[in-house]
Amino acid sequence: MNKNFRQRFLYCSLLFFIIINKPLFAIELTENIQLHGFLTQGAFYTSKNNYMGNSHDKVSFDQTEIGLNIFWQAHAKIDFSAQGLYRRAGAVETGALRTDYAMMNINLFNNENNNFGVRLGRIKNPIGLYNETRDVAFTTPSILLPQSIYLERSRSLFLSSDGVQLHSRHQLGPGWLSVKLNYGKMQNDNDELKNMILGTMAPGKLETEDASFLGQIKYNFQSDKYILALSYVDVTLDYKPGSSDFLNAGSAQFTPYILSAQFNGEKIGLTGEYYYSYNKFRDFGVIPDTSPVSENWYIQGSYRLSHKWQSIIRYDVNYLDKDNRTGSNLEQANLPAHMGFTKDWMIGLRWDITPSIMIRGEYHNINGTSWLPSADNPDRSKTKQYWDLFSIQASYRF
Amino acid sequence: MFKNKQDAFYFTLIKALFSLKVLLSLVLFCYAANTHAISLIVNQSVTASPASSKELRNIFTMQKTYWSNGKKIQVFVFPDNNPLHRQFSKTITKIFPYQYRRIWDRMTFSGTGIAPKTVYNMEEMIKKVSNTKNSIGYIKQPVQNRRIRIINLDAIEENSHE
Repeated sequence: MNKNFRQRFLYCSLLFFIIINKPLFAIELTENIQLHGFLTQGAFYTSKNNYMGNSHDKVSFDQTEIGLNIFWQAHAKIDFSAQGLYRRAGAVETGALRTDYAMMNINLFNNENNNFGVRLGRIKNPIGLYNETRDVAFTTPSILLPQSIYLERSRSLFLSSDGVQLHSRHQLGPGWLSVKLNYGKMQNDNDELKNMILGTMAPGKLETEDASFLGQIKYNFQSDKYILALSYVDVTLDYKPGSSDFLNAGSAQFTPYILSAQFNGEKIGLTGEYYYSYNKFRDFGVIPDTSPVSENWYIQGSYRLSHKWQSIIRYDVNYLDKDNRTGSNLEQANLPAHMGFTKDWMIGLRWDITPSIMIRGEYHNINGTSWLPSADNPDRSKTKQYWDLFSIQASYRF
Repeated sequence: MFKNKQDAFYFTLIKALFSLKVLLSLVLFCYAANTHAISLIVNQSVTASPASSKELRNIFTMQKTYWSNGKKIQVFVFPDNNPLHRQFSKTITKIFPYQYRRIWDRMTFSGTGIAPKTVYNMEEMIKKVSNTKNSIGYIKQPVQNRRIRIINLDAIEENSHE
């Protein structure tokens, strides 16, 4: 059997298993242990450039996300949780099984209106509205998260921290004020970032050496009908030169601020996020020190046609350097200017067939290539400024 | 009895309108009774009585996770597409099933919390709530069960003018 056929056979049998099964929301091993999981498969087609595999003028199926998690309420004040994630995402991630999170939570203080606790282990990073569950299709508004902010390039860095999180929740006025502060070592799988900052020829590694700080303050009322949040990250990556490297041991620092606002009505949903990041690239030697400021934002509206159907529209903007929005500075480095920005109009439709099975499709009209992964587009001179992207995705969860 | 046909006509008209009113009130009564065809139930170990939509929302979204006596709340619900769950979400807690689902999913898939436990029929709900300490759930018709206490929903509706 060839690999493709095997893969399809696997999917078909899984699909069959899913359809014959009644909707199922959790597996309860005991009174205090729950298992949940999900399986997502996407298909991509692009008119130019590649996204999630070889999608240019053909259909790529190189997006798969499979997760399984366990939550154990060991004691009224102590719980343990962990999630394993298998993910394929074009050439960026060709199939890897990772520990998505694994942590212990202790609720130090609780009463009706307050909750204060600490988490230890690998903890998801609360950045913006979607980062903590960005790989779980059911929880995201569209197949491609707004790439202005949740771009594939920095996904693995921003995903989680190995360390500690202080979290608190207080009932304040009509809603809840919650604060999450993470301190820990962020993940190191940063080839996409390295290619962007240092070019594809740099032989060394770009890694976090020290623990980083990030946090989010969020206010929601009427049970998430209105959400307002501010997130902050301060992370530094150090370059470890390879053998006979032309670069010095420089560093790259990112300090983004993200402001998020969301309204969830009965039929209408409105979301906007604004990302403003100070970046510092220093001491690489042949590459001059720079400190560009990135400015990204999107605005998104959704309309619920029925309890099974939802439509969505979004405008998404990304500038790598807000003082050079046309990207003309990149031409000096023999890179196309359209790598400096992206403007993306998107429309989509989501069909929740059952509470456990969902299918959605979307169309993007894109101007710019700033968030195109370099793994899928190794030769930037061949990328095109104007392109379209179509995608369909199916997801199952329990 | 009537002086002329016109009087008879008016009398019949008034009678008809009156019957229509009776019929209408009957319909309204049934409709009103129908919105009450949900009973909020707690295990007998629960001493608190949630008294507003907001408090119920906090409990069912798992934001409020402890009773005032410090015991962890155990929440039971029906599946998202269950008509009673939709009715309960919309009329009693004043939010929509998809809003619950989004909040639960965010916790479930980031390891930061747990969704309510799902039950699939009335018998299972009654069994779970009667056998689980500090639990809360809802059913269609009130039941007689000494391990279950029914919470008055009228009080909740009065407190729900937000």
